[in-house]
Amino acid sequence: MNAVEVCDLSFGYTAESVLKKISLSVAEGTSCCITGENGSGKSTLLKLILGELKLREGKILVFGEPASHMSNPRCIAYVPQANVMDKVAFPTTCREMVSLGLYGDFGFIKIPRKRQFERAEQALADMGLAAYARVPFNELSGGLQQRVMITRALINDPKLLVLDEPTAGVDSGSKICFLELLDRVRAERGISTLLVSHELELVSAHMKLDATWRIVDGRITHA
Amino acid sequence: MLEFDFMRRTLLAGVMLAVALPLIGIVMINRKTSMVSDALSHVSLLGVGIGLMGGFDPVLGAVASCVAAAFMIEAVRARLPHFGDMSVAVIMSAGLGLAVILADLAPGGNTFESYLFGSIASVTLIDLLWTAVVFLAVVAVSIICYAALLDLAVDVTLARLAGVKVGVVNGIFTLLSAITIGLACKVVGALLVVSLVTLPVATALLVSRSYKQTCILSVVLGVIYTFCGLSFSYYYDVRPGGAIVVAAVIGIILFTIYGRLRRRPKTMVEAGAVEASVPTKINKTAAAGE
Repeated sequence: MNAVEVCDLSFGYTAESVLKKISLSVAEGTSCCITGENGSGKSTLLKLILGELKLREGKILVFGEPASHMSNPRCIAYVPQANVMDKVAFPTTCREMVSLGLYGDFGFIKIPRKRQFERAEQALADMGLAAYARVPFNELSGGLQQRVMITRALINDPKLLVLDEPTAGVDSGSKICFLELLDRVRAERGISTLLVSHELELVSAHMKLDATWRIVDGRITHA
Repeated sequence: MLEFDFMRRTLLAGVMLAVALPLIGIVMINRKTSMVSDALSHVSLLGVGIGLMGGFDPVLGAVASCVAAAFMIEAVRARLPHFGDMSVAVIMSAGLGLAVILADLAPGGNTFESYLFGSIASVTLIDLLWTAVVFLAVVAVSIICYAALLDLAVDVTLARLAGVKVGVVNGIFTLLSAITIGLACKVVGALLVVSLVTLPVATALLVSRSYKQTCILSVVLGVIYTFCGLSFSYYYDVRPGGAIVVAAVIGIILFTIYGRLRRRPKTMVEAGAVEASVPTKINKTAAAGE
């Protein structure tokens, strides 16, 4: 079964289509990258795959189920753009941030408890971030924030990891560090990975990619 | 002052609102929508005017107008996410404009004015009961939806994938915040409700290092500000809303001074785990301090 299967997808925010007849598939356990210029529709495609936008034409299946009505959405993990996390200006410790990934384990009262904090701290430790557990997330650099977010993404042992421009706005040293970390965890855990990035050369230099696509004028081609 | 029945009612209602409003404020500030509370408090005056003209409880009018305005703002924000601020401004202007006209037409100008700046003598037993109900609902939702509200402030997609029922949580929060703000206009005053929504949280943010700390400190400060403000209002015969705001501003100044005195490079050097290859804002701070 493919982790992601997109068939004849067309989508536009207005009458004009941003994405035209897109078809692609991400096999289980593989890692793929979608690239393209700013505004080409990469992030829109990702939002459609994640079920954030309503599908108008075509079909998207994630592990054989429609993306917007998945029986277990926790099998998908998502790492947003670094600049999205920049907007988290309020103090939230890294362990609080990571423990939010365990929302489904909280019970009726949705407050992270000792058990969830311990799991979050362990996950941070596994990523070499043990010392940051009680540090406010908003005090970290973009690169470290992204490492915390990938820790959060992986805490539920997802089957598919989706990343939207995870290195945009991050300094070059941290970009490489992040991509190498991503490649390592992907390989170790056998997670299917779908990455959107406008920095294909950088991504392909630091992580193994099984397929790459480029979106140009709303159409997808192999990069 | 506690020997007077009206003062006991006012203090009790004030303290309950002082817990409920900062709990709402934390979420609004984290989502960068604190101006929604300002818009709702202004729109509540429209309901007050309708209540005075229609001959029913103005608080009921205030609550109803706040609920309608809150869902209108949310609807516009959902449809036009890039114009969220604009929708707040449009609804606030419309509500305030109509309220000003109704203020001229409604009987009892002084009554209308008491809703602008609050009045410690006007809290009835019915107001107190409704405030207690809303207080319990806000506290319950803040506890039950603690992680959901935090996660929604971080990122909606992340929250949804984590299992948060985004529409339900947002709907409950919008409804409760509108009701609370509508109710608060009687004690705190419509023009100053926003101060109790934002100022305790703003003070807490100066020193807090976690979300949990921010929540607890905001509530404690809200209660302290309200108690000080209402007491000052009683002893010096000034408007309670203004007195609460002054207490909060003094609090912010004191916490700013405390924060500056306490500030030291909270660095990873302390934690001893910065990887040399990963430059951080924090180790830059440390380097600058060396």
